[in-house]
Amino acid sequence: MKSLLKMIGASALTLGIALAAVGIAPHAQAIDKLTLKDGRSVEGEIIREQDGVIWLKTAGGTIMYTPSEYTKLERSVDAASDANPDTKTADGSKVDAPASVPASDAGKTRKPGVPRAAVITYGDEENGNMVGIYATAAGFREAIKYLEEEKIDIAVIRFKSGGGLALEVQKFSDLFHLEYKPKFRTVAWIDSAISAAAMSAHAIEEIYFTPQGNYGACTGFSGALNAMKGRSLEQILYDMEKISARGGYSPYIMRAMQISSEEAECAPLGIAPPTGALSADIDEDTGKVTWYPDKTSGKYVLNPSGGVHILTFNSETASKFKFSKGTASNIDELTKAMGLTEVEWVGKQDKRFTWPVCKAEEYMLRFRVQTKQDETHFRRYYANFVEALGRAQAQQDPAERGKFLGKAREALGMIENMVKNNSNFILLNWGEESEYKEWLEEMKKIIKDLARR
Amino acid sequence: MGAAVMLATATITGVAISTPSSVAAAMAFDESEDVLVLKDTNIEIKGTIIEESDSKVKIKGKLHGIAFEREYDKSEVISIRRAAKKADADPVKAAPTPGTEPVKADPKAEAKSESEAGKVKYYHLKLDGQFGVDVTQTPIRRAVKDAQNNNVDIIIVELNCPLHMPGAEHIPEDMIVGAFDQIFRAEHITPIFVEEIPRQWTKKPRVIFWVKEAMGGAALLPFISSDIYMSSEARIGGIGYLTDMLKVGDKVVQHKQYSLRLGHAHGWLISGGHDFRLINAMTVREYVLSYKPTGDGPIYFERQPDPLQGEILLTDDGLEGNFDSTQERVRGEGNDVLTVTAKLGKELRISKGTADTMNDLLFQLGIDRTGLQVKGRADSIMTGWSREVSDAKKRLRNLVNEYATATVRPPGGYDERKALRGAQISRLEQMKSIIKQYEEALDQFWMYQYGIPPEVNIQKAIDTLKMDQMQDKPDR
Repeated sequence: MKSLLKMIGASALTLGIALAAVGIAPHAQAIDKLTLKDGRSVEGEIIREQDGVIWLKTAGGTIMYTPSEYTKLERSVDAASDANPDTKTADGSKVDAPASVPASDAGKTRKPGVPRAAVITYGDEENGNMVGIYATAAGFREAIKYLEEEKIDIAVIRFKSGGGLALEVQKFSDLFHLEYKPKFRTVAWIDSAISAAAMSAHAIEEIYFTPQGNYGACTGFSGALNAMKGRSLEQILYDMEKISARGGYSPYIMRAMQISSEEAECAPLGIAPPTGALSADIDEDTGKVTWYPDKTSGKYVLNPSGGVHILTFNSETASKFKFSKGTASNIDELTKAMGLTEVEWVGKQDKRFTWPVCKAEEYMLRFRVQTKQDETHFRRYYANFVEALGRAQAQQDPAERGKFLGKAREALGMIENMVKNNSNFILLNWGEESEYKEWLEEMKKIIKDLARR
Repeated sequence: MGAAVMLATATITGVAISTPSSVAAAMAFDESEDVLVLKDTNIEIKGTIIEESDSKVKIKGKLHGIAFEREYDKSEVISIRRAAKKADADPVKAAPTPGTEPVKADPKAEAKSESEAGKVKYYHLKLDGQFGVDVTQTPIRRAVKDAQNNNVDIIIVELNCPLHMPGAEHIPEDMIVGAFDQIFRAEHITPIFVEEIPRQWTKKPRVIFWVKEAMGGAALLPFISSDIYMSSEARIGGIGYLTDMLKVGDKVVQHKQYSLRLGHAHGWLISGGHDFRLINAMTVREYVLSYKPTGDGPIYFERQPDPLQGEILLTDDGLEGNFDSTQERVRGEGNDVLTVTAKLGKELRISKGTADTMNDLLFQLGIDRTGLQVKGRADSIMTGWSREVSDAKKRLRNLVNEYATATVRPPGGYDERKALRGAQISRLEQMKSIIKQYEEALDQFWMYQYGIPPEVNIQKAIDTLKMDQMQDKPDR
């Protein structure tokens, strides 16, 4: 069996309130008009559109509408004649203040104009958080069906991970960029995203931190702190430049998280300059941040900083340099930071978490619980299989042999279930899937042959 | 520095705190309107309360320029925040900027929320002993629950944890490198204060850390709060020489490890409203930090001080001639890494005051007359835990010994072999159970030292014994 692979360390849209859902757009210039299924119309400016999902900017904020919520879209219609921002709705009724929206089950009808949001965790303290084992792209892909089942509009991925396998980074980036973002407003909420976790989140434009959040330290290494070097390092630096573009971040930021600010420390890495030095300026008028891949051009030096030569953002630095869009310690603060005046956080209340647990999150938790059990006990499953097989081979009496073959089957079944729950165990222990399948078939054949003997 | 080096994994996490009292104070100052916080969603309705009864509250205001007026049933409302009176409101002073700005709130004023009996109920939680063994999450969680059951206004956490590094007991503490990683142990404790109290308490208590000694992993615990008091001989530190910790591999990877660790530690200070650069001064020998005392608190500079500007050196670069002498280190007067003393803590506005006795502390909190100590079970919970852990360790050692020395009783037949296996399985099950229950207080070094196997190995031994039994047959 093969062993572990390379390790990578262990303005948000303001979704609107009920007011906005009823067509008040007093100052809108280019007016687009949506007719909702319930007959009401909403006017505003379409600021984003993807696969039929419309983000409509209205006087009350920006609201996202899925195709199932509207019947007609009219572009650039005349502004509503009654542009008086009073409290009347399209049907003339009085508008209430934003109301409390309790979390509801998937089957219930969604409230028009109120986005449904859910939190999915990317690792946890209790069960595990290693990227590639406890947080897998396959697992997050599986979660999509639960998010869709619950008609989720906003997927908040709560990161709490100390890193993991480098090879999972691109998979996550592709998944978030190509599959999540078209379907959901995808948000990263960073409690801790170190190394491969940060690299996985980097394709997401909308990042918030918890006050204690951290993000960075993405240097690839293996074994006894041996750095990734040469072509493989150049490759991942290049990959992360492309991923930075997906997330809308300066490539210099990720480079500063990956390689040292010091030339002497970069020299053994066998890569082309520049180093990971990073400085920045902040325009006092506009707040715009300009990044420089050196220690001298910008007023603020981020790498090196504080005596270390690799960048890790904390919530203050991330916010100051506009890497994060805000800081939120709980779901209410996150709601505010995301500019949501009304939102339905979907899921069941659970005293362990500050957010409701949606179906996708239930799946994630189950996945990690099982993965932890399997990761801890895999060697035992395997040892028991080998031992039972050995004892079976030594038995002359078919009945006695059958008892141990039963034990061997049981242990093999545990291994099969382990892989079924988390296919990355194949990668970690057999390498290729074909090797695993070959091994499994061989073991089953041995059992079968022994049973026939 | 031939010291013990501990290299932890990078799988580490942090937690935040919004110190209830400071947040409440900030909110009170921030709000120029009344605010209703609704249940379930925590949506805030801002405006002016125009009518209120025992069961209803009516609020009017403007939302996006649009007037509204609405009545809520109080059962829908989690809390009502009243608008601060203008005379009290000074947004500049009242909203402490984490780090650079000192906490302005008057502690005496903060403590004035009296309980129904007209007294401020406080709970004294004494955390005394070895961090990660005596001071660990299970008993603390139990004690905090006890405080909640007693509906207290204030929890005073007295922290007295000297530096203890398993396997490095005979090394002078100033020579220990690698104690920094004990903060990851502390990260199992902080959620109790940072996440669980805000989530589980209806009326959040003010949590005050009263530090006697907070060294090693315990050093970062008080920083999750802006309410720190220190005794006159108190120290916060013992996590220095981080960048001397790793000696293997490439420099770039070493710095990755330092960077992620500091990233974690920064979060603690930020969430407690402290300047995160202090942690670099406490941990990185090469890091230079100076400060200038001002009426509004210290201003920090990441360079040598300019004495003409009244600036003072906190830590130098610790290189060559600046390396602390043995004499300085023995006396705790070095400046390669920062150890926060009571005096310095006060000067840097880390500590709000120096108190050697509970009466001193209560006086400083402004509750010397109104304070009412709740006779909780904190002491019995904490000492009971220490006793339980000690007993558990003894029992584990005995079980390992019994397991290793057990033999088949004469005449050594099938029944005796079966009985032995049964007894061995029972011992192993007991070991598993103890490890599971006290895992948080059993460090790897101790387990290794006494030959206590990990739980999974114990389960494997049980599996093997069961297969042995399957294979065994009564003697003919």
